[in-house]
Amino acid sequence: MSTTYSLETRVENGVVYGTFALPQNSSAARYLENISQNRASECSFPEPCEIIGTEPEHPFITVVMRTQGKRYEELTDVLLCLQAQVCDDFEIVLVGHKVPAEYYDGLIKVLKQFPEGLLKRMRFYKLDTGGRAMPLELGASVARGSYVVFLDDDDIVTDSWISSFKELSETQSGKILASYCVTQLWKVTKPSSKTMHHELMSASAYGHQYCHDFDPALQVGLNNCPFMSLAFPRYLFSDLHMHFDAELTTTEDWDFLMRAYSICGVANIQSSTAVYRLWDNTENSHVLHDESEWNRNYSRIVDRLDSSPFLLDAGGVQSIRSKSTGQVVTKEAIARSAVMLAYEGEAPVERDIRKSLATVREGSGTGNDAVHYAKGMSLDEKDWAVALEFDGQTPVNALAFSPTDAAFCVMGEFKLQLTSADGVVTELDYADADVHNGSQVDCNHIVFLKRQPYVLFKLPKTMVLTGAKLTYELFAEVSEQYIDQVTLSKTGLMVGRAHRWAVRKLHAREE
Amino acid sequence: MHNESLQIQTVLYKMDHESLMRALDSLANTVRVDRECGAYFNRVTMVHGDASPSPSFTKDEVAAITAKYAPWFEYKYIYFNENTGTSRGHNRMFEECTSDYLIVQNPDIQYAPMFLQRMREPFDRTDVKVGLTEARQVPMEHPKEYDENTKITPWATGACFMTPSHVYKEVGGFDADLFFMYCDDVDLSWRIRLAGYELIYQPLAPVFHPKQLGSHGEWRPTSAEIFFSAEAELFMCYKFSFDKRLERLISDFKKREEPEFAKAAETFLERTRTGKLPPQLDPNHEVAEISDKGYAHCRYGL
Repeated sequence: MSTTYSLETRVENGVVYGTFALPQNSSAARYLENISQNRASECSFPEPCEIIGTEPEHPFITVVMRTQGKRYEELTDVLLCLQAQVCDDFEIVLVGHKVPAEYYDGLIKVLKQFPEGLLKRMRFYKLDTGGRAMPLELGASVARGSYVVFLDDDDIVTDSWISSFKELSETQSGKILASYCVTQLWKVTKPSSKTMHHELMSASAYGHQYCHDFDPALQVGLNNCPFMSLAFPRYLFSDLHMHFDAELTTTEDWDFLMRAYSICGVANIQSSTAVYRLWDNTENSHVLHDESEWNRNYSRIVDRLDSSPFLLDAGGVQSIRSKSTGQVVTKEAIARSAVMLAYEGEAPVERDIRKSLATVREGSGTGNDAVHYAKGMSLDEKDWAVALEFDGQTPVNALAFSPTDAAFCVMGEFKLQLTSADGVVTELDYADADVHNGSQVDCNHIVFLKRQPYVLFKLPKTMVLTGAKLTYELFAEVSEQYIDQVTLSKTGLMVGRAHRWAVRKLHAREE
Repeated sequence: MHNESLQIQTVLYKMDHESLMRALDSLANTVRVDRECGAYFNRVTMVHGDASPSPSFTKDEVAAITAKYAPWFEYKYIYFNENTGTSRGHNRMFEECTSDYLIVQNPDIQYAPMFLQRMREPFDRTDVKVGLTEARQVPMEHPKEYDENTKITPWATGACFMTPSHVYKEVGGFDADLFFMYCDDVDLSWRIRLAGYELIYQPLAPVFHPKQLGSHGEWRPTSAEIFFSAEAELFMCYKFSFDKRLERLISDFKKREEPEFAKAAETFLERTRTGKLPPQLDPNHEVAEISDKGYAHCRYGL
């Protein structure tokens, strides 16, 4: 018995495209059957109300936003960002989901205060039923754009957010479009005046853990793609009838992304166009959902992904190969792989830092005259300190320190003491660590979940150094509290429990 | 109804029309919202001072802009016919200001709807003598410290602030002789504080200030930006009496490989030789604070 999938029969450039008969149990048949089992939505959604914009008729992209209407200031920020877009080829579907009655009038008032130019491209839907996925389903079902992007009411995007997606779509149409995204800690502070509105304050420099290309191997175990950084082709919803999993109370975005990736692949935009706000002192999904719920959702996602063939896009195999050489992490092993580099020219970007670190670790030097692997480096494995000697002649603008080549560690309490050629000692601390590729979890610690972690210190000025000493703390394991902080800070995006589950499995296997 | 008047002014330099028009649209909207909420301002004037090599707008375009926004604000366009820099440009526009309040800002700033009320409200405070309010920038908030309770901040960025016109006049506006494009806001801030006023950061007044981030959110200055920034740092050290630091900076700048730093040091020394420096201020550093980390404590590094 076989399942037949018919494709148009034609000949192009000498290649015959015809009708294929696939054995029922073949991976290809099951893959296609899985897609064909999607069903059109039978839900009935409400009509738009209050704000019923009609422009543009055929936008490039539909921005689907869900709000519970309780965060006026955050909502104002994100609408201000949409108001400022340099590309106006978009519409907004804003779903007020289960907005408490006491907030509803205030929400509508906030919306109607925005300029006509924004409101004419916005449709508001009042939805009082369903779970977290329902407003997303609604948005996708009424979207008119070629692409659909989902934006939370507490996100921030740059004015090139839409235009970057559009530019990439001109060469990569049909794929998921993924941009880089920086993270930033924010907190809510008290208002000073009679107004009842709360105030917002940024509390950290940008984090860069989401400033990298989509990586299927990494993505299978841990969601590394904030939802607002992904634009999905609308055919996934309108033609293939894909849906969000309504049973999931968390991480529905991760589930959808992985299923969609297997169908259409991902194209990357290598610039940051969004700020993913990690709230320090407000309600988040970690508080709202218990551990058993996260575990249940994670198992459901993994089971579903495993229930049919999973197709990797081009480059996927290499991605998996590069992640398949794990190592047992010990303190001594970590200390031995510590590397410090001094940069003569302007401070490097991440890919340059990683390249330098990689070449040093492979023993081939940095291959760049402007990068120095400090001579006379001594490592104190007990006290977590690394000391370097310089020639007293080389001007240095930045120092990069990588405590280990391994992933999953916490670094903190570090102090960098620089001795210049004229004997002046300068001390830098955590606040001077300008760039790193981890996640800041408090005022002193950074969690690194990826391999090749690094911290970059841009010196306050060019300095001719004779020595540098860095003292620090390093923990080879990431506590559950820190994992939660890194991964669960935002409703429904990350899979902290899933990550912990994976780490426990890994440890069990090692034992 | 407060029946107050407001002048908003900004210096243009080769700005694209689209971003300017988006900014004017958002101004019209915030004026509308102000009126719907009781109206602090019954007369609003928007002034574009153009320091570009050639006029950014034709007469017809100016007429069209004036007509389009007439229901919301009066539009004035002044072509300077020289590159005045921001400081001198703002001072020139202020010469004809008859409004109660003044907003100084970058040309591409876009406002949240409640912007005008939120910026104006702190001037009604009775616990402090408010001389200036500063907007919160989106998507990149400036990290300088402010008091979470009082909202008092050590200095205000020139990206977007509001001040009573009499305060701007009292302190003499920007120091256009010294600062071309950087630190003019820090200098003005500290002189307002020396005059006895406090500066208030207003987190409830977000404005969009376009920033292009690199792959990792980094910002890379141009050669001109490096020079004017270095020059301004020397001027600030001199003007606010950080003499030892000034001496060290000049020495360091001369040794730097980047030619912009040596040029900045030479520019400063030339002014010293020709007596083109103003009197020094704040000898006891009651308001001024300069360190390797900048002009005030920051919550984090950019």
